[in-house]
Amino acid sequence: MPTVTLRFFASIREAVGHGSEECQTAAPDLAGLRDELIARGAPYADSLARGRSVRVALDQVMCSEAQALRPGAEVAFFPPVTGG
Amino acid sequence: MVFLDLSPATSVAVQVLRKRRGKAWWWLKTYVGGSHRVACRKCHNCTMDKQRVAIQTEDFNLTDEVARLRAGDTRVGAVCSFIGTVRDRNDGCAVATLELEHYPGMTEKAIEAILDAAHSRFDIQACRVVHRVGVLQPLDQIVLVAVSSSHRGQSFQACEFIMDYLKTQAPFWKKEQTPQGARWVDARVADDAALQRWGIAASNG
Repeated sequence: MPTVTLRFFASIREAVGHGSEECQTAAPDLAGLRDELIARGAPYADSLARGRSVRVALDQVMCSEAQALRPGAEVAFFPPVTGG
Repeated sequence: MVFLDLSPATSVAVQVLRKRRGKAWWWLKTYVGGSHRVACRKCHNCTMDKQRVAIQTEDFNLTDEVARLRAGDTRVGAVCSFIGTVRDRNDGCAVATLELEHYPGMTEKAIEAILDAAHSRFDIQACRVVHRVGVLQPLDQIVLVAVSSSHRGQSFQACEFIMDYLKTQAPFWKKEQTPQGARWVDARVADDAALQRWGIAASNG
């Protein structure tokens, strides 16, 4: 299965307990990847649960969960941004 | 050759003009922390002094930033700037400190894209964003947006546009220390609405 690099930030990083991990996934898109992480159970399930506002980026570009995954990509999950 | 000495939490995006075989293009590279040498072997228009985006822990000086923004540009007749600062209260609670986290690499790309959008939309000469990260205290400066143009209307609008866009698209997150403990700041619906005023439907929440 292809490998991607996961990145977590802010409250999701705190809930998961780390900011980065390598992950093997068969998911075709970011929505499928998020569902795989939720299916792992705690601590991913709560912070990435459907109904929670979670934003995603693929290779450091903000995108929707419909975006297709590619091997070796960097996928980041984070809460709505609050800069400025 | 240009040398960069960056503190660990500082990232710098460099735009360098490359020319080869009659073609020229902009090359954007991000350096994060440590010492770096940026090669500019035959670059005739190295733009190190026109760096548009800085993410840093250190404070910034408005006078110095504006002077650098408009230096040598006789077309400039107007400069507009915005500074965001730390308040001591938010959502009903006293705030002792504010900690800003960001996504190194993506932060610079996102803000560069916002500045490109500003250049496409408004008749401006130059723009710059400085955004601090790390632990800040009430009264501290957080962010600077500065824009230069020939006439004031365009830089006023561009400055507000850049700030509205940054609030919902730049990957920063704020964590407050309050008397009740630490809490992450929630995104505001009003910030999405501010971006929609410019005809951009991007959703943050």
